[in-house]
Amino acid sequence: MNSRQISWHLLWIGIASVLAISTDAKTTIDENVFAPEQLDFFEDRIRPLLTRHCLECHGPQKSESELRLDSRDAILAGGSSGNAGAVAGEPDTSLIVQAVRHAGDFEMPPNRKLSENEIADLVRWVEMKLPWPKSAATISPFSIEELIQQHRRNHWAFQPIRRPAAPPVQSRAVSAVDRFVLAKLESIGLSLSPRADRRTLIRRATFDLTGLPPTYSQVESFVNNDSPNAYSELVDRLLDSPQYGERWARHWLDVARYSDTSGYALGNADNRYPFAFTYRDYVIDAFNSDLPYDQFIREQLAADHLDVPGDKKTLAALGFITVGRKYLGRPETVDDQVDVVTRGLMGLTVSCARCHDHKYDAIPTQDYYSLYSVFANNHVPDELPLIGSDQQRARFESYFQELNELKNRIVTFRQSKHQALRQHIDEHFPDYLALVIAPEQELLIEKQAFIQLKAADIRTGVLDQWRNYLRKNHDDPALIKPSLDLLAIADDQFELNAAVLIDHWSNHPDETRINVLYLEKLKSNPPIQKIELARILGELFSETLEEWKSRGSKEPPIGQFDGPRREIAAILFDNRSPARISLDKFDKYMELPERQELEKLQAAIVKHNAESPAGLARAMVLRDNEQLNEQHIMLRGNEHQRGDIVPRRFVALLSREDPEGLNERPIFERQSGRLDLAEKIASRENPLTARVLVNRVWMHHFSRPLVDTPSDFGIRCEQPVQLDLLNFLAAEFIDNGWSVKQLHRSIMLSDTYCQASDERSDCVARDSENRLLWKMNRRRLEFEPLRDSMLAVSGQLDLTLYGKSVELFKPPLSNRRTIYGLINRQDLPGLYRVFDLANPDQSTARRIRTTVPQQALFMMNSLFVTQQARHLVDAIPDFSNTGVPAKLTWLYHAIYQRDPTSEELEIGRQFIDSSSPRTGEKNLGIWQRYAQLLLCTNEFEFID
Amino acid sequence: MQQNKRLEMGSLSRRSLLRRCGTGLATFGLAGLLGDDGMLWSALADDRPNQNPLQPRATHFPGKAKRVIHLFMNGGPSHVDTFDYKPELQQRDGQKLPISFQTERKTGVAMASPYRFRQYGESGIHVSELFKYTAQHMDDIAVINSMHADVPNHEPSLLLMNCGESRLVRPSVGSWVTYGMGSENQNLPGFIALCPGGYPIKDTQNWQSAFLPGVFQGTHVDTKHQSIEQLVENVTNASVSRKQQREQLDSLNQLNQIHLREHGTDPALEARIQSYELAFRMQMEATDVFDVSQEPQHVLDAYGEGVNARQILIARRLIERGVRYVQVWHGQGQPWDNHDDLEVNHRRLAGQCDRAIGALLTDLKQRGLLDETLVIWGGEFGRTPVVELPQPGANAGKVNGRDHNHHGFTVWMAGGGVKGGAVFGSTDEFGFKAVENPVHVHDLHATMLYLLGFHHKQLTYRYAGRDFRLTDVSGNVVHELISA
Repeated sequence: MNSRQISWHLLWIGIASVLAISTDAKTTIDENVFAPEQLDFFEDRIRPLLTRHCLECHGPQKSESELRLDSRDAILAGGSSGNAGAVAGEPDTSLIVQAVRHAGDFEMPPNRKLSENEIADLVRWVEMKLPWPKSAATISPFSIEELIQQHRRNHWAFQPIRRPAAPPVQSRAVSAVDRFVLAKLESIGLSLSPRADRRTLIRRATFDLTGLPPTYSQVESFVNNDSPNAYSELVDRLLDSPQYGERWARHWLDVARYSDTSGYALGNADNRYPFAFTYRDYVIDAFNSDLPYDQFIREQLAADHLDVPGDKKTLAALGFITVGRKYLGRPETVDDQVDVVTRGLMGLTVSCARCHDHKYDAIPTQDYYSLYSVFANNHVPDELPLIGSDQQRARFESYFQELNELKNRIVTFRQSKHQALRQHIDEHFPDYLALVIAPEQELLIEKQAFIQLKAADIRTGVLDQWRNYLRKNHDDPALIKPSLDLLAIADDQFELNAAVLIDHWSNHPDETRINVLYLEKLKSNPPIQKIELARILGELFSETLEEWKSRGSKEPPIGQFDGPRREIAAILFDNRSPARISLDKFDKYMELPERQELEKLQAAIVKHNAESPAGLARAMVLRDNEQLNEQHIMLRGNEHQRGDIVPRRFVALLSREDPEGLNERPIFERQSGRLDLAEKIASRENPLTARVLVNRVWMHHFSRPLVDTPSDFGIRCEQPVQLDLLNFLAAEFIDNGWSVKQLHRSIMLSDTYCQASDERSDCVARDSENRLLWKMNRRRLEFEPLRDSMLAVSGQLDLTLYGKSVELFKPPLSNRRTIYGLINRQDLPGLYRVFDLANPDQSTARRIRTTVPQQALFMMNSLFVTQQARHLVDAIPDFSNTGVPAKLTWLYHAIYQRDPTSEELEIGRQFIDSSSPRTGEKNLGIWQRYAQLLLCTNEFEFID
Repeated sequence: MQQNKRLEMGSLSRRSLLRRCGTGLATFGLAGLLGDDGMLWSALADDRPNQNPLQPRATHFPGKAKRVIHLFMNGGPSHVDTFDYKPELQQRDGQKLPISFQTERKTGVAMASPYRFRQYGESGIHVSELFKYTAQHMDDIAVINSMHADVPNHEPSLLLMNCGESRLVRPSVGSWVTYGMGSENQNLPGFIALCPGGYPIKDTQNWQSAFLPGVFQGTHVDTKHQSIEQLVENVTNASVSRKQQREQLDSLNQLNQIHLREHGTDPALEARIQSYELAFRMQMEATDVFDVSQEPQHVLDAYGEGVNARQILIARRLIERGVRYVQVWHGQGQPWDNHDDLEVNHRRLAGQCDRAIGALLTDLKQRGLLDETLVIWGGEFGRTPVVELPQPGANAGKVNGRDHNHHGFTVWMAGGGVKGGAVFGSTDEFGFKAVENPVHVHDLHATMLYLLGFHHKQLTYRYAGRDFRLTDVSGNVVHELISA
């Protein structure tokens, strides 16, 4: 065994033991549930192996020896030999293993032995007792329609949402939530933990709902409140506080991949989204006003198609679609929109079907492009609409004045450059024609006396247009066809044969329709080289143009001519001719310096908007294209490889009104179809929307979701242990009018939520990961509540709601809540990555959580934290009489909302007495250093 | 089975299993790291926050290379002026070439290299005078003359070279490597991007971790600065001395121990306590590692003057301390993008780094580090063998530079199991397009991962319902580049 084999061997032992142990752990909960790792193993190694090597002969079409290998049951049952195909846990006696090893009566597959790795995989799989997902009882290379049927039938998340009855339980249960939880716990002899103490409870609820700590006096009054309603009143008070919206909007902004910039700024562009904040404020407001979640979805996808109040603030909701990264390629930008809508709202990974049918879920590529088409048929208007009242606008006179000036500059710029372009084209007919005729002979061209254009001044856009235009009109019998005939002559025989051809035309006018003026010129001054045709044609165009001008440039120009001149005019003044490039098409013909200048002018408007006065707001809308484009499938995701045209409509998998999953579901009729799509998603018929949302809300309360992959409810997502609870919450959520606040109450008023977070050794043994919720999970504050809490306890927190985003990390440091911090996706503060903030380029429902020393560096060394320490100490009242313990107690009240223990007081006293003295103004004083270390404790950052 | 039975009696979570394993992830291997938006990754981040995600991990198989220094000549160095000698091009100076390929801008006739080439080492590989110091090491270097990429533009090519995907947001190579292997020094970030003066084109996207955890993102250090406060965020404290901070941490520890006592053993609490001690050490280590003045004079002399020399020396100091992946960018923007005045500019740029690169290779070898350190040199693409024609607004009417060229270019590798003195693949006789044994960027990535001990198809991360990998659906390991 060489070293590589050894390491593989070790790795395998590692995996095998983990898998084996997890299985055993799971069996204490449910006999038939395999660990996710085992199912992954099946999906990654076994399913492909079976479909690739076995199913052709042992599947639904053909079952040799009556053996089928497309379901776990079939394998266990075996075929005509009478023996089981496999014996769970016993590879050596399993028929399929013997067959692939070529060690028994059969040698399979018949034509080729499997690789050693594949055989090892199969052995491992039988050892694991053939893990197989319940959601795909039978596997096969099924048609997509069959898969749709199967997934609809079998996968838990695609079943209609029905409210399950709360199960009977032994313990006294206050709420339905508790009954679902207790039923599972009691089934293995466990129970909920006792209720957490009052102080813990108020901290937990306050952080959960507002992202801030309670004050000492709030804690005290709650602890001393004997009313049986004290806790529910607390929850109501917190839900009513404006800080609730700020906290929960931040969770939503993770899903919405919110950022204040568009990404990479090409050239001179300004990458700021000056009005992204209006979307953020809309979300805060939506949570605070408990906007029904279905309406929240409709507004975010199609506010512009709804009746909205006069101030148009609702339009800001469309930021959900538009605040994503602006990629250099349009398909990527649209893909991101499809992703945020499908994964973000439904937990369906539709974007996986961009290049090929989804590998796991029954989502064909055409369904992806159906949704793609919905978004591709929209655009962001040049000027975003103003929102807010008219009275407000009156205050911004100077802003609008300057804006108009900046806009006028662009108009003037375009006009003057367009004018210059037209003149350039008019003056250089022969030059461009020469370049079209002899593109490979640049040096030769420059030597021609009639050429005036220097290589550096060639406009590639114009040249391309000439080239395309002449190519498209190759059959014009007057000018272009004869020219092509001449150009077809071999170079070295040109002079002679051209003369012959010209002669022929002159002598046989019935055989050609060449323009007589052209023919005259060819005769009077016969071309010696091909390139001279450019001179001759150029002269014809110039003369015609001059003549038109001299006659007053009347429109339409072609109509001003007759006879042979009209033939020339017909080419020169054709609407698609380079000589007629109109102002509205001018941008396409800009050369680099012009584009750069335009970018600068446009960037000035972005800057003006970014620096616009507070209160001025615009909505980041998108608008349906006037001309709706048909959408082709992009084969393998390549936009240049067109497949079939697909209509705009919903995914088949979730359209039960289309029973076969074929073409019976309705096509979106209202413009781009955003509103139709919104209605499909924000519907009680949609099996995913409500489940996905309640799962995420649960996750934020318990620090762990009921369904582990909160943005992927596809078939690889196993049925959660608490499926009934999830279904109950989803059904109740819909019945309560999609009220998120009501959902918080359902969860928070349960005993399950209120229980203590302490470890219980009896429970650890049965359910080490607390899947069954025998305790509350302890959790660490994310960055936003951590920073906000430091500001809160130091008395510095600025509670202003809404407004433009602010730079948080440049002195003088802002005291705004972290949600108002500017998020530049192109230059995300390192701190944001260090503290695991959501990546603003991808919809994120669940943040990764790591513990790394750079987080501690921020707490120990940052200007922000040391400033809060100074403020804390500045705020200590004068305790000159009572001294150190009183001061310490005050700090404990401010920071932890409790009294210190005598042990803690002693540690504090020692620190104050014996720390190194202050060395100067810049140096933190001893008390300040102590306050800082109190902010660094686990107690400050963890919520029980 | 016996062992399983025993474990069954106790706590059975992955967490406790891993604690038992002692070496933690070393045995668990990558299997445990493959995660979803939370799913298996949670094995590392969520359930076991005590596990530092940068802890060293075993690779698929033992690779020769343990760490990487990527010398990134951003902007695109000309291969025909450096490591791809083309006598035929010299012959045809000023002539129209029989072949032509679309690049970003208009190009004209052949432009001979203005530099002298000569052969170096026993391998006799041709190198131009621009890299005469580097050339002293040709017998340790494998030159890939047949690199190719997809498009002739900086932005997509930078992303392709750095993240394996030119359009979408994907993790960078350094992020994948630190995700796969962790880092050997917990007091420093595992992946560091040195770039003097600010950011290159595409900014921090070049070292992004995308959907991988933020801890695997490259830490940018602006090596233009020399004081430590400006080099690493929050690594120093302007208002608390080291001694005072130690006093703070001691009291902090006492308070945290009381808290821990009252809350029972919780790995999450313990991990956070640990992270403060790590942070305290990181301050010293980081301060120390960036302070090149600690080097003896003869070393400083060998690397030479200037910011590039200093940052290449810093790169050596970083990997010497176990940092996994160091990328050294030549400078802010795109310094090697010489559309005009190529002769002067390439001479200046090579002059800034050649001597230091030579010194680095010598230095690594003397310290016995070269065998384990993969050194890579190259840009996002190369340049055309033909002259770039003037274009409005682009090159001031000068006709003495080269356009971008993704059809063929050169990357070289040394150390870390790379076969020395080798030339692999070639461009056509003029250096325009890779014709023999073409190596795509995906192939380069597959090979780099292989040298580090990974099967590129198996280093995956599940995100949004899909298993992603650096090489997407492509990539072939170039075994000819690997020493026996």
